[in-house]
Amino acid sequence: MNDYVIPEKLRVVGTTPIRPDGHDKVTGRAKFGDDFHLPGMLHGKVLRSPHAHARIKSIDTSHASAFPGVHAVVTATDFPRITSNVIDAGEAGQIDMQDVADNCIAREKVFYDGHAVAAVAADSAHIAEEAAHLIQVNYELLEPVMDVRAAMADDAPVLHDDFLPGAFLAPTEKALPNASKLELAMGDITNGFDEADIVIEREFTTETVHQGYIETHIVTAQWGANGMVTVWTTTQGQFAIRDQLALVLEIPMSAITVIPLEIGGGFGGKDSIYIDPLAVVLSKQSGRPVKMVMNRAETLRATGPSSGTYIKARLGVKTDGTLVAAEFHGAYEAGAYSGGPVAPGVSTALTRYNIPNVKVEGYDVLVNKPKVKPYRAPGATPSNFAVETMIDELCRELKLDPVEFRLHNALKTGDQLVLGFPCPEIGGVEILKAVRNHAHYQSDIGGPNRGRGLAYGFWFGAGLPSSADLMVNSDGTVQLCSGSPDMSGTRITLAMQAAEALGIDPSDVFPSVGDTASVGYSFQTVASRTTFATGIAVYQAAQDILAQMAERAALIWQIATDDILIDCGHFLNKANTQQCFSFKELAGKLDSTGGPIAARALASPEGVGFQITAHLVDLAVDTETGKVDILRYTAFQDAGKAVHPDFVEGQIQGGTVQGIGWALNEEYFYDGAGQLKNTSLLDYRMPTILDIPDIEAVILEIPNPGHPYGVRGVGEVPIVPPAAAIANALYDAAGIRMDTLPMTPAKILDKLNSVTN
Amino acid sequence: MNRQQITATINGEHREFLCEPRQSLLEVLRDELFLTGTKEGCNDGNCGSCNVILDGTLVNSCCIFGVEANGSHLTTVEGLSKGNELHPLQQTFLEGTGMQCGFCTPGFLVAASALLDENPEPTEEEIRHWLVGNLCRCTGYDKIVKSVQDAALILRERAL
Amino acid sequence: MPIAWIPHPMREVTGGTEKVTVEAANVREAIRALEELYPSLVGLLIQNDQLRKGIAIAVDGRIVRRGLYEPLRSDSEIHFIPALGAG
Repeated sequence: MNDYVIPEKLRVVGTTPIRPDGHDKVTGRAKFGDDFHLPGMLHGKVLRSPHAHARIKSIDTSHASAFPGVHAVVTATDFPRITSNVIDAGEAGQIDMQDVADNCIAREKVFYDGHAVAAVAADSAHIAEEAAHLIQVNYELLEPVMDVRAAMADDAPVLHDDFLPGAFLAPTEKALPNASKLELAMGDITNGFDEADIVIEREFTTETVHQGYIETHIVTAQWGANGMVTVWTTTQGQFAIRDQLALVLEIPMSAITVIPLEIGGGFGGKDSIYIDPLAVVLSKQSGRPVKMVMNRAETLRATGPSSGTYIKARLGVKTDGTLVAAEFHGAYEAGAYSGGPVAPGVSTALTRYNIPNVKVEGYDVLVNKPKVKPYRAPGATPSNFAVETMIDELCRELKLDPVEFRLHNALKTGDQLVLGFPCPEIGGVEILKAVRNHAHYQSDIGGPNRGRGLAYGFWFGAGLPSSADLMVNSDGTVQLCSGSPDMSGTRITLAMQAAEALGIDPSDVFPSVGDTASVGYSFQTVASRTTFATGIAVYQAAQDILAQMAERAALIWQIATDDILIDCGHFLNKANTQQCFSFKELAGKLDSTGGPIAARALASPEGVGFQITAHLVDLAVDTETGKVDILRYTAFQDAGKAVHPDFVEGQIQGGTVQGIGWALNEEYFYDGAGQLKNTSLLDYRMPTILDIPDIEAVILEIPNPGHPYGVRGVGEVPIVPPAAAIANALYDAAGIRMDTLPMTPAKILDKLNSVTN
Repeated sequence: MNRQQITATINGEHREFLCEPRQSLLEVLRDELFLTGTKEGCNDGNCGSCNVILDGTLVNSCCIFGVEANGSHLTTVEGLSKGNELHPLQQTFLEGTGMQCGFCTPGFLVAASALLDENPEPTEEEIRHWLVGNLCRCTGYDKIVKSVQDAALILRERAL
Repeated sequence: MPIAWIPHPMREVTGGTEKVTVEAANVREAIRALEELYPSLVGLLIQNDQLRKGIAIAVDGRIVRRGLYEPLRSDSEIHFIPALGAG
């Protein structure tokens, strides 16, 4: 297909230039979602349901409308019923737009504590909040259901009488009133388990966690006099916001311009609309721009967390350590509306091992919690926790070294995936060998109550469409504009790829992120795709630029374009290499040879390199308090090609620490009525700088032939194995096998006590 | 609500502004003075994004009322650089990739500058203890610690 | 001729057959050919003239953006897989 021949030597890719947007960020000049002001701007606030499951009987907004300083009040009646329901959402399949609209503002029912019911625009946020409290809502309370097993039980309260199930290849529609089902299989597990010498079956539960981005959700919207809408927001995908707004409000897509501001973290949670349509309609009704900010409590209560799960798994192995059969059942919370991470959750559960007989079954389960959103590698962390702790158990039973066991069973390039097709180039074996050879693995743990754990993780990643524009100026500098919001340094990694392709210095490439009116369509900055897919768009645009410049050189020298040799930013006459222009020199001649040059490429690359990683952790557990101290952490990952190694390291370290929080502390606490109790960052306890040691990132590079420089995505897989690695280390330290997340001190103490009793 | 007139020296400049008694210092800095470098991450003292230095003390500006700043000296992230010359911390965060999304960065910079003012030679443990009130969700903290260490070295070398 | 692999949950409808050789120039034609052979497959892969929700298509080991319109070579292999999300 389109396999690239990757150059032996790269000039720019692999170096560590300073990001051009960094200066504004360290000086506080960078404009994030709430740093944007417009003259005459009003402030909007949302009234949210305090009930987890209820029918809305009536809403009386009259007192709010009459409150001094209030300019507009909206409820669901101010929004159209959607006519075109389902849209293509790329890798996520399709989305039901009525669900999206109802999630933004409840129509007939509320489905979670925090579900938006009405919104107010006023002179200040304080006034808007006071006025919102005056809105009277009559609810008919319904019984909430708060976890997957309860939701799948026979007598479970039903959330939606009519929901669009995930289908997922099943012959039937809904599997259960609150769930749809997915199944994948390979080989014959009955025979497979018959062949096994040892079979273990285990159950696991994991709690709901939130992405925890430090910047919450903020939108400013302006309804123009001519019906054109402008939205300024913090988002991972300005085009997604635009398209969803267009469909929810039934406005033409081109009538909406979404301008992405800097984004203070997303991790998958900022890929769709929440308060955006509310701000737009409030602006329309008030005739003024409206800014809306979701505060921390609102963000925790009412934006997509990541699924809590219930998992049951069975593994069969021969005494020589060969895995012969695996069966995996996972129920993943979808939240209030269907469409959670069940597909990637079950598809990645076992994918890194070459097992001939596999059956995976997943349920996408409706519960009275906010609709779940991706959190780095959605669904994969709980699955990995289950499988990798079972693998650890098998290693101990068979007295096999955990690295050797995994090497023996490792999925290699060309092995069949449970999806059915062969695995593309992957560096799993190389990673395991790197673990084995590393000083950490070979070192002595030392000390009582200390243990070491290993876990091995896999994630897909995606291509999907990205657009890039390049413009060459007469001074030889190049402007690069793409539609990919920069969450963590992709402006520079894209500029580096442009510089590499054009043969120029990265300091001569000036990257920017365009809005929906200024640049071609790009899918969101998600799925570890930006450096990969937008990078390919950049590369292709660069090839176009080089071709156009070659034409100009040919014109000047009066030769055929085919007679031009392009070599690292220089254009030469093949027949007489004394005739040579540097990129800058030739750029200076563009005006006189026909005018400026620009190129655009829209790429939707399919040669995605999958992500694979191994994490090794040493920890100490205090057997009196149950507290875990991470002592040493090494993460091994195949980056394909690290465009900017410091940023790749940063992705690995950041994702790892999120995984550590997921493993040890983070969970949503709901009370019996389904209200979220920990709505602040004090009680939703994320890792602090004191909880984490240095994290060593070992980057391997097994190139992905689907990208011109070998890049594979790196951002998501780091969150996948930490929980399992820590659980395995806990067993090593204290002989306890944890089967729930998070592994809080209280739960660890319980296990320790039950083991000693 | 009656707005009160408040006077303060902010980043070395004499500033006057009006604020309602119920407005936090964070709100006032951002929405009245348009010093938007200081960020809101939680509004209840748990993330450090709103760190400023008030009369020599590192504080969470979300937990201080604007009216309390009357007559005070305040340093925000905007006051760390001198014209176009970056504070060593700003330089090392840039060079050492001590930030990814950059949102928590102002809080960390202000907090770290307060640390280095008080303790020019902090150990890694002292750095981590001091910055425990600043949350970052992107970096995993590793490069933040290294950036602070590098900046401390630069400042010590300059002092020699 | 291209080969279409039947996803496991649908094999009960094809009497256990795991793959079918089809005469087809693109994925849509391949699905139509399968539906002709196994009428119970109608509505399981294509619904309202679109790929059914939650399904993605891989041709020769790559998830293809053009979906139903993806052209096939004589030795192409088609896999129907669940749509995978990410963040």
